[in-house]
Amino acid sequence: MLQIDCAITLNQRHFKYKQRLDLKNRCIGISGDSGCGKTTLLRIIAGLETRATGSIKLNEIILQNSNDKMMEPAYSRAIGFVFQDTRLFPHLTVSANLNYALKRANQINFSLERVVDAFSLSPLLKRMPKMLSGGEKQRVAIARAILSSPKLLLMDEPLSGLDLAQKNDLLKYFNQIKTNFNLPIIYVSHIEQELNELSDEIIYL
Amino acid sequence: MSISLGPAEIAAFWLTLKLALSTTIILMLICIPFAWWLAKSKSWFAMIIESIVALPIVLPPTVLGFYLLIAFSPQTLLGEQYLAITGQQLAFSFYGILFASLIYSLPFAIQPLQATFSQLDTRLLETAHSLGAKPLDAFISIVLPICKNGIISAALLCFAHTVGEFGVILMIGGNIPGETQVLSIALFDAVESLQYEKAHMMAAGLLVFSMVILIVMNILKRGQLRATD
Repeated sequence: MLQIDCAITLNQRHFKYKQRLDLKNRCIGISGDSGCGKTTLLRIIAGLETRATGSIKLNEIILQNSNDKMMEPAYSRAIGFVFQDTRLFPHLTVSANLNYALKRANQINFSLERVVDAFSLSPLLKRMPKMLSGGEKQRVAIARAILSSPKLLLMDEPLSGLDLAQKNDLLKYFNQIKTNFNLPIIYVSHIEQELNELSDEIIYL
Repeated sequence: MSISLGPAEIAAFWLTLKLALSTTIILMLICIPFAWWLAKSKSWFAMIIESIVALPIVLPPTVLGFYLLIAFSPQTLLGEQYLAITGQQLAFSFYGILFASLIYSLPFAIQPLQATFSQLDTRLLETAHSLGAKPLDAFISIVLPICKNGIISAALLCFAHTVGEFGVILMIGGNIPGETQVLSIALFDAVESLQYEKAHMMAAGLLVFSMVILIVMNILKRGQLRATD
């Protein structure tokens, strides 16, 4: 269960979120118009928006409570984040990018071999990120987030900017995250078709 | 005709190397965290500090040398404490010229580092945090390797600038062979005493050294631009 009651003002725009999301290894889709604050919501949950005020509770663990001036930093929240622009570390190979997450995980829930197999990354392991296609980069980014053994995986429009063939290819892998890894997911997109295909429930902001 | 450098010039060479290496190592240790803070801070205070740090670039070396000479005198707290602890005056000693060199070369270390850090995509740090990396870990594992070429460039510039220092060193250290007589001052000394062959050797050495440093810096700069693409 994720309970969020937060507010933030960014660039003179005020966003207020009050949600109670039953995760239970489900994929919750979040939809809304461009600029409605979908990405900001994910960033607040991940602890990347430190200016947000309010409270966040994940599975009865308090991640933030402004009244007590309590804010769990992003690095200790165990919340994985797949960014729209992949953000692979450019100086590390695919293998080193994956190991970066594995070495810093509080507990190891998934082995490197299992994740590499699930996302068909074996042929890519020695490559540098600049040698990958958009779809391959996103597969590595998702695998890396899973290797950090998160309690919750946040995905911010991971298919945007990809062509149709790459999108269809990636959707196959996305379905595996729920089935193979039993990870609760919050998936942000403004494309209905994507959300319908992946989500168990859709919330409109 | 064979020309060889005398013991004084060889001592000046080693002293210059010792001074430049010490200055570079100390400045890199201080300036990497300092430049990171300057690059990321948006406060007025940081802007004021940035201007103060840049002062040695515009100040005549003699002005800086004069004020440092006053600061090093046993009548000031710094000079008095140094004399009490070491039994030596800070002025006209190796540590005096090292201190002066640290201040004089500070902007040459800070500014390239700050420029390198400003170009870094800080979203990569957010990503590292989301993967469990604490701030220092993220700095060491992400910032330092990505900015490696910029850091080496800053170190080279700092080293080369220290090798070429003249005015401040002369004001603070005078011209004491083996203690404060660095290569640029030994060159000046050789010209003053009309020993042009020795002066030529030292001047040509410094010229070639400066060219090599600039070429290496340009190579590193291109590499850095490719890395941050």
